[in-house]
Amino acid sequence: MPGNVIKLRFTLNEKQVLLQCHPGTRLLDILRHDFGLKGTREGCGQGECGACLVLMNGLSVNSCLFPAFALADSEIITIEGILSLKSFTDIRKSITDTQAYRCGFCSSGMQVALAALLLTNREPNAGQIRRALSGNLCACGSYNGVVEAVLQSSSRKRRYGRR
Amino acid sequence: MKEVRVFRPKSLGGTLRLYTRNPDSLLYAGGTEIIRRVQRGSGRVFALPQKVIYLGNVQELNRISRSQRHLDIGSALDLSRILKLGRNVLPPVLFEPLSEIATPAVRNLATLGGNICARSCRGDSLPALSVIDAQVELRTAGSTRWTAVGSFLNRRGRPRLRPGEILTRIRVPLEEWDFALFRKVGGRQRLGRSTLSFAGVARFPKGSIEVLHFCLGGLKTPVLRVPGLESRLKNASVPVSTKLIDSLLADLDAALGNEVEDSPEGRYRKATALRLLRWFMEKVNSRSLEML
Amino acid sequence: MQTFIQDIGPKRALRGIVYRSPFRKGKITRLGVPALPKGYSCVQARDIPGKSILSYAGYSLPILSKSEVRYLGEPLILFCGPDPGVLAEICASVELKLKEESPVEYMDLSGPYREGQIINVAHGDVDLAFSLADQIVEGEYRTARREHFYPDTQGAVAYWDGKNLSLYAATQDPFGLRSAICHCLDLAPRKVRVVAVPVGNSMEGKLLSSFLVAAQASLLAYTAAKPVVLIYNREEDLLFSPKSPEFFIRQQTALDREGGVMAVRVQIFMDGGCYPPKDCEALRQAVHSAWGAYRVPNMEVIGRTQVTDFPPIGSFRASGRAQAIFATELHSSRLEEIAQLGPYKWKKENLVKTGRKEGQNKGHGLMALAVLEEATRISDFTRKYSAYSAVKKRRKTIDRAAYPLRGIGISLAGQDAEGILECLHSIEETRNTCTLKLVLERGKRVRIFTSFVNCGMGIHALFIHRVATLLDLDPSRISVQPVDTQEVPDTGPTTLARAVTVGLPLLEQCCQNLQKKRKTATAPIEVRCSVSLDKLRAPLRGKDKSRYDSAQSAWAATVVEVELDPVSFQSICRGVWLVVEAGTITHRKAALQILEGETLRALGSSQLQEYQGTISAGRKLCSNIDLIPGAEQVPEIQVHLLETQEGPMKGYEQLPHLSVPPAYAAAVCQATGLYVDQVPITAEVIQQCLEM
Repeated sequence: MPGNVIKLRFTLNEKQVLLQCHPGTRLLDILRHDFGLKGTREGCGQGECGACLVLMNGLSVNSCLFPAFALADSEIITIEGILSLKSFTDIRKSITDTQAYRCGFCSSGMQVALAALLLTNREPNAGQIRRALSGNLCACGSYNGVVEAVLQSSSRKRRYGRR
Repeated sequence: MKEVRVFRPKSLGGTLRLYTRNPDSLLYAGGTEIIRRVQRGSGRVFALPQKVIYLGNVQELNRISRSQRHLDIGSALDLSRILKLGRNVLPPVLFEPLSEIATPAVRNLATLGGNICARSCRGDSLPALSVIDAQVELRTAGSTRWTAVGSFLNRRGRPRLRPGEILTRIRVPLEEWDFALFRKVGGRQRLGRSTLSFAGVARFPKGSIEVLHFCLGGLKTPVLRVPGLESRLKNASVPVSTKLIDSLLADLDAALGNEVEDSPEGRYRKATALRLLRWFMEKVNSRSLEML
Repeated sequence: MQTFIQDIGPKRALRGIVYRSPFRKGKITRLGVPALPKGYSCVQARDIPGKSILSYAGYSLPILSKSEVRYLGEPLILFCGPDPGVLAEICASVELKLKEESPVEYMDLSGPYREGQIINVAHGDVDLAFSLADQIVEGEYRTARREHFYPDTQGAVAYWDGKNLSLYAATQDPFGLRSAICHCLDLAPRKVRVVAVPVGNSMEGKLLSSFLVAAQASLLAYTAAKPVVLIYNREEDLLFSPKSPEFFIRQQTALDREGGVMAVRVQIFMDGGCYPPKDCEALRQAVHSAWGAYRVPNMEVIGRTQVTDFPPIGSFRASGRAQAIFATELHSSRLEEIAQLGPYKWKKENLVKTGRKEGQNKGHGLMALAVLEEATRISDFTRKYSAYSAVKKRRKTIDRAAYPLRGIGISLAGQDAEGILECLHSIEETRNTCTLKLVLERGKRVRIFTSFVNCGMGIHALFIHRVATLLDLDPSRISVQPVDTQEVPDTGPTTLARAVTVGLPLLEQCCQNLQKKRKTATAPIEVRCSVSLDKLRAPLRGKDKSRYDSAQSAWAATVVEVELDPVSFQSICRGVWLVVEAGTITHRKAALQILEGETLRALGSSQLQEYQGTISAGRKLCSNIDLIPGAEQVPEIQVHLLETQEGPMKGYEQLPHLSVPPAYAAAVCQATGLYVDQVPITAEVIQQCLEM
């Protein structure tokens, strides 16, 4: 195999995929250009704004800081997976049931950050939600509405006995 | 596009032998600082060097072991997993800076080894590791040595590594302190341009100071300890007198002469460093009064 | 999920790149383009078929510079081709030689300087008043240049088929953009189609830069005869997009024996940058709003733009007005002390009582008073102000304080719609008419046709909600037609203020007409309503006055409470109380959300953050950008809407940007006991003031 192309096998949104690319290709570009998954966005390219977040093995990571060579055998879930896969049904409503997002550019990154939190903590308090969102920058300032929506969704679940 | 060869060793022995044969390789663990340096604008491939040794699969570098006296943390272990140990296991003075590094997502990738070696991270873990006398293990295929974190970096902030050496573990002493503090000023999401950090620990049984360490990070010297000032406080009774504190500050002021640039940011950092030391000493005094 | 400009463009499209000057200033002596591989094209200034200068809303700058460089990063050549890596190598091979000159990147107020536009207003006899004054209070106030971080970088996608151009652009003014492209490519309007893609928060600097990138993409598509995608990368968008200019404002106030204001003299200096606007809306706003809400019997305000070698400035939210109000509010805090009145009492006594402008009703001053009183009440301002003042008096020095330093500040500001109406008039092609269309389709579905785009302000949702209410329909049956210049009429450039002062009345008129037509006609029914801007600028009467009351200002009073750490001088905001009067607000929830978000941004613009980027040849550049607070830094923000039930809704999105920075600065001044006369305020600035 030539040195400038590697073969990668990994799981993307619960499907096994195979890709050939340069080892230094950014995960962000792999998702957007090779797989057409445009929900993961580039905001700063420096790991500061969180617009590029994806779940890797259940944890949120910045896809703009992640090279292809480190991807082998990983499980990647993008915002498209979170919005459509059965395994995220329980938490999906909590993170999408909000009109707090204004322009929507940062919303997928925020939703991935919230998914990472809710996978381990189904009833977070406001402080925990804010901490989870501490890696997301929203230029429209919509944090409070998002936090409120997640809290309300949790309390709704408690009221109706759903977990 | 340049050819890049990526090695994925699974053992430390294999890694060290590989690095000996390929000393020009880039050692890559979390890569969060490396990757910023090799970016070339969006949509383009990272400009990696020809050889990369990926440390993510090396077991010995990705684990924590614990004894009664110390914690040994693998240099390629990500910060999130280190923080999972909690405040009761990790010394609080180290827990604070690690939990404030970057963002949750970056902490899922970034490593303690990377944070120690990267020049842009001087104000994070280094001051805390220095005041608790943490050590780093440096290994080649045929040798092992330990050195204090405080002397691991040269004045320019570059790691003092011999040919073929890799930073493999960070040894964190698990000592009890009567008082420990960490403060970071500036940096991400904070106001202003200047970054500065302060870590301090003290032990004062029976009303006098047995040991007191303090360290400033983010100045020209990456980890600034002033042993002369620390030794003046040895055996001083607590609460420490105002006269002694003022004298310490005057000496620190002199020591900081070349550590900051002559600019508004530099003057702010110097003034803040002095205020941090005063604040730390006042906190030590309050704590000592509580303990009496 | 929204689709942004970065998400579109066919796979077969060529990528575009801009070659930018790595030098700050000079005359170009050689610009050598390397031999291009097959499939790659380039465009230089001489290749532009039509006009090479982009003009919009009084601002103008070259699409590509020909013979000189006026700022670092100035676009010189465009390239396009299939491989971004190859394009980067082509850029690296360009040979640029120039006779470098030393740039003057800051205003020089002490000696002779290059002057641009001058605007002055005056009333009364200022000289006489100053000669009779008991004392004269002087102050100098500075708002630094800065830029705003928006995560969505600028871009455009252009298609040229040999006869017609189709352009996908993230722009707030698709018809304005179409006009600019027609001039640039020397094409008739029917040959240019602009499809507006959602814009991230309609931010500062995006108006002009969206036109620039679209023109560049269009030129590349026109030359290469293939689709072109041109997206600026993060560094170039942040470092080379238009900036918010620096303002320096001198205030002189003549006081009588009781500390009452007899006269004011204001000098406003604005950094016009290297391509200063000929007719600067920001300067005009600054001059006309210099003394904001207050009653001043004699006044003279002179505003000047100064030409420097600073990068181009752009049209920013509340630009000019915000800086002028900042200076006045901070200056008034000194006058309050001399008059020995607290901020609330001083403002109340000096507030304008009747409308200052023709056509304004006498309630104008009453609205301002109402917001001031409400803000004072809900924040407990008077009690806290007294308490913190007492602490300040007892304190010896702030850097030895044993506890956090606290302060509270209040400010008052008004936003009017005049500036929004003006900006249309100053572009090359005068667009004097705004039009909106409604179509009622079979099955009781309604489509709204407007050129207003979605830009984080909820305008489409606002329109849908309004139509649903007026026509008694389910909102799910109402939609807004995708904004395409071939499909929708020109309602003008998009801002929330224009949407509520011009768009909503048009919409309401259309709904009325539709209701009438429904009685006799069957679906599909189309109605179209227009209004002339000349008509809106004249004093209004009757039905028009109740619909388009653009002469009235919306008002806001803001209270900010801060706490400063005496060790680091870093501040945290303990609370913000914003009280807004903006007519009859029909979408409360969205309005509260928008105001809260803009308040957070305004707090950020009072502080600072540093971004470090790398430009070509590995040179590092630092840029000061407004702080974007993170989720953990959001303070307690309370927004109250005073609904007066008088008159239609007014634009309000500028109000936090007008009132939050001076309230924040006043709070920091009280907390520290220092006169901080500039914004952004950082810990370093406080240290500097302490050392003075």
